[in-house]
Amino acid sequence: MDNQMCVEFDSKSENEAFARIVAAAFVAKADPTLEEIDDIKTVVSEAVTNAIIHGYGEKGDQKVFMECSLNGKKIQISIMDKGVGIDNIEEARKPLYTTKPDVHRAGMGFTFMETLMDTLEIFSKPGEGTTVRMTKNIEG
Amino acid sequence: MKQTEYKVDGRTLCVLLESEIDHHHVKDIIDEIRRKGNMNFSKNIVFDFSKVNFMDSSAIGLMMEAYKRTSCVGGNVLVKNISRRGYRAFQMAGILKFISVEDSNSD
Repeated sequence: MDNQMCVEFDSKSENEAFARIVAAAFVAKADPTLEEIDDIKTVVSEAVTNAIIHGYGEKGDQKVFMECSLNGKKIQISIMDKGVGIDNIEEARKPLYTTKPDVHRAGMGFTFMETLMDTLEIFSKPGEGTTVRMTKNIEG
Repeated sequence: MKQTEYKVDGRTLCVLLESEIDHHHVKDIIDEIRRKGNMNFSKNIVFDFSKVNFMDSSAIGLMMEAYKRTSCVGGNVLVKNISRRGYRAFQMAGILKFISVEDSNSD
């Protein structure tokens, strides 16, 4: 492994920007294109937003964890929360599916993650939390 | 920190969006659109994306909310100066069916 990092931060919505900037800075070593940096920033923003509003129901006093590792040109990003978990992962992955239309969610988070990254895995159990793990080869 | 700017022009509410559109910012923008829209009988909403350099799927939620507000009074949502990347995201979400896009760098 070339490089690895892990950060833990409060489940406050202002940390969505913090997390994506940290991930973008981490991946910079792999010489990504601007488009690839935008891809990384977008998927981190989606996953962290999910953790905050779905995992923790917008309670700002919980913790979100992000781990990134770089193996050559391959970046792996994992976002973890210890929140409510997902009942039906298959349903959650469907485009436009959302359990929270009231907070203006478009239901496109997982679709973006799937489209912009090479792989997406979701591990979740109701009552225990959710981890999403994504990888992407940086072409540069 | 650059803020989103709002301008009322007759029954059209013009929204010049700030540089980063995520869930954190969209909450405040929707509150302000509601407040300004209700005060001024706004029928149409115009979003200018010229300053936006980051957006995630929250921007799609914002467009859906604007569409809900305007469609029930017979108005429209118009999007200006959106990036090619943003345009593709809107396309993927299928929302171009109910909002109009002008000056897009989509080609």
